[in-house]
Parts: sequence; C-alpha cells; structure tokens
Amino acid sequence: MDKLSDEMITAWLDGEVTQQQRSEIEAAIAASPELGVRVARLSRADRLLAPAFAETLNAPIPERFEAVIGRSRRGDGLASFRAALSGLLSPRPMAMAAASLVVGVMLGGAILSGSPTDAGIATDSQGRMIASDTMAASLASVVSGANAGPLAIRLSFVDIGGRYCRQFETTAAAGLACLESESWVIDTLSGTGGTPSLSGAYVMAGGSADIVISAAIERLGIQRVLDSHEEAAAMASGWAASAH
Amino acid sequence: MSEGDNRFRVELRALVPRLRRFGHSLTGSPDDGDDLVQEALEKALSREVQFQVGSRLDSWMYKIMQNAWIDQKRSAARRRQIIQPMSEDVVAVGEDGRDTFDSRINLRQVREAMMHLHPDERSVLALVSIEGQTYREAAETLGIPIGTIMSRLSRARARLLQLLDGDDPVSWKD
Repeated sequence: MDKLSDEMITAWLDGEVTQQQRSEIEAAIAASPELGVRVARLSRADRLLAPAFAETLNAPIPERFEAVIGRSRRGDGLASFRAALSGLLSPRPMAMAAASLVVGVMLGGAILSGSPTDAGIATDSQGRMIASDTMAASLASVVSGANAGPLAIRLSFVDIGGRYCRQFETTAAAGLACLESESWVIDTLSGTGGTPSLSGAYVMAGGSADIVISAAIERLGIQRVLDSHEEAAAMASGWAASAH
Repeated sequence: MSEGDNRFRVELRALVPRLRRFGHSLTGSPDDGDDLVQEALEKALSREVQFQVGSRLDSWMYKIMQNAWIDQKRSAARRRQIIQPMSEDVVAVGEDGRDTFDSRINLRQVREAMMHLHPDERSVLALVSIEGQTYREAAETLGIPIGTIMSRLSRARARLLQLLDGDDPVSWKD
C-alpha cells in the first residue's frame, strides 16, 4: 500500500477496516516513520474531543430529566419497594455490594434455554452464585443491543467498585452480572415469566424484574456506562483491562 | 404501567449522561444541549411504541436529538448568532518548550473549535469520535451512506486540527 488516504487511516483508527486492509495498513505504518506522524496527527482530534465533552458523564442527572423520565413511575410502588429493599439489606451495609439478590427465580431451573446440560448458573467455592461456563461465554461476548442467541445484553457499565457489569436478559430471567477475578458473579437475578418460585432469598411478585434491576443498579452505582467502542475494546481485551 | 414501559424508562435514564454529552457537543452549550435532551426524552416517551425492541435505544435517541436540533436550527436560522472568532486568550501557554503539542490546547478551545465546524461535520464527529458509534450506526442515525460518514469524518478531524493549530482561522458561517 503505497499511498494511504487520510480517510483510510481514520477508518483504521476507528476499527472500521477489513482484516486484510488492517494488516496492510499496519505494515505500511510500521515501515514508514512519515506515516506514523500522520497517524499520530489524525488520532489527535479524537484524543482531544473525548475529554472536552466528558463533563456530563459523571454529573448527577438533573432533576428536570428525572421529572420527565420518572413522572409516571411515582406512586408505582417503586419508592415503597426501595424502602423495603433498603430495610432488608441495611443490617449488613458493607456486605451489600457482594450480596446476591435473587427474586422470583426457581434455582435449579434453567436460566439459559437451549442447553439441556447447562442451566446458566453455578456456585463458586465461596458459595457465590456465578455464571456457568456457557453463560459466562455469552456474558463476555454478546454485544449490547444484539438481538440473537439465548442471552441479550441491555447495558454494560463500570460500577463504583470498578467492576465491569452487564445487565442481561434471557427468556427466563433478567439480572446483573459483574466480573470479579475472572468469574461473572451474579449480583441480581430476577425471573421474567411464569410463577415466581424460589429457593433463594427473597420472594417478590412476578413482573418486578425491572424494578429489582434498576434498584440494584442504583445500589451498585454506575461509574460510567460503556459505549459501543468501549464495550468492544473491553471485549477485545477479554475484559482484562482495568475498568477504573 | 406495563413492565416494558418501566424498562424503557430505566434504560432512558441510564442514557441521560451520554445524551447530555451529545447535546453539548452538537449545540456547543450545556444548557442548549440539555434543552435538546429534554425535548428528545419527551418525544421518546410519547413515541415509545415506535421503538423497535432489539434495536439500540442510544441510536434511536441520538437520531431524535439530531432531528430536533436540525429543526431548531432551521426555525432559528434568521436569528442565529454570528459565531465569534476563537478567543486568543487560550492559545500560547506553555511556551517554555518543554510542553508537548497538546498541552497548549485546552478543553475550552476544543469545544470552541467544534462549534466552528459545519453542522454536518459536527454531527458525524460527535457520533463517532465522542459517542463511539460505528460508521454504520452513525450512517443510520443521520440517514446518509457510510461513504459520506467516512469523508465527513476525515474532513471534520482535519478541520478541527487546523482550527486548533491556528492554520486557518476562517470558520464555518451560515
């Protein structure tokens, strides 16, 4: 590749080239210091832009938006649910972030459909509920918003504790899983269908999955939501890069 | 309220910080950006039925905001403020020679430079460089071909750097 256009270089920087183009471009850059300078120049715009507009990301959500979004949620039982939840959990505030909340799910029933031998959930040596191998593979690889396969991801974020967390949904359940020393620990799990049936901690009425999960997200605290680039980068690194 | 409606609101709420960032980068003002977010949230909640489950809510919201912004700009075209030249006071710090290129540029300058770009270029840059959309997602959000995304993006980045480096003080005017 003798001559690389700015367009081609920026497409490469954005990860928008084919594997073949990528190899060619990388070889060309490695061979040409002059090209390296151009690449550095072109990548500068993005390096400057992201921090210039980062201010709102960690700012509290202004009341005017809460009012719009939450208007019809008030009086919907959410406030009383939150109060009940904090009542349940307050005796052990420090352990709270590590505690799993299981609601309306028959443990032993399958979380993941399509795999008769793997229900999706396993228990680790400390007795924590973690994703099984099959489920962990999905949690690590499914792109937010993708609408295929037995597991969908609604949101990827870094919690206040610096863990990567993913809000997931299967045909049977919805929940939150957060990555801790190579295991996806199930923080919250809530049944989305059928009769609530439980051999876990708390029993809630059916249909409350969203409230349970939104309360859990508030409890964990979002440090930042991953956008599609950040999510792809985290995936590419095997979720190994520090989430901080 | 249905379960789906509630989920929709939870997800909308999680998106608000990014929507505010997008609004700020389009309009150049946190307040104007927030007005855009407010308008988009109201529209989204009134049109929830149009949202296709399984598609990306963020893309849908960016699209609503982008369209609302274009509408606002059209109706305000005659009242538009003349964009001021970039201020001088933020250039030329760190002239002791030790600083790298970028340390002479502060974030306010970057935001100002962004506002000197043509609105079409600014939208692409905001979606791809700041919001992290793929070319395909940005093409869908803006309703233009991927090839146009690539050329606008490349032009926008080059233009932004020219403005920041002071090579070319002429800005876009309508």
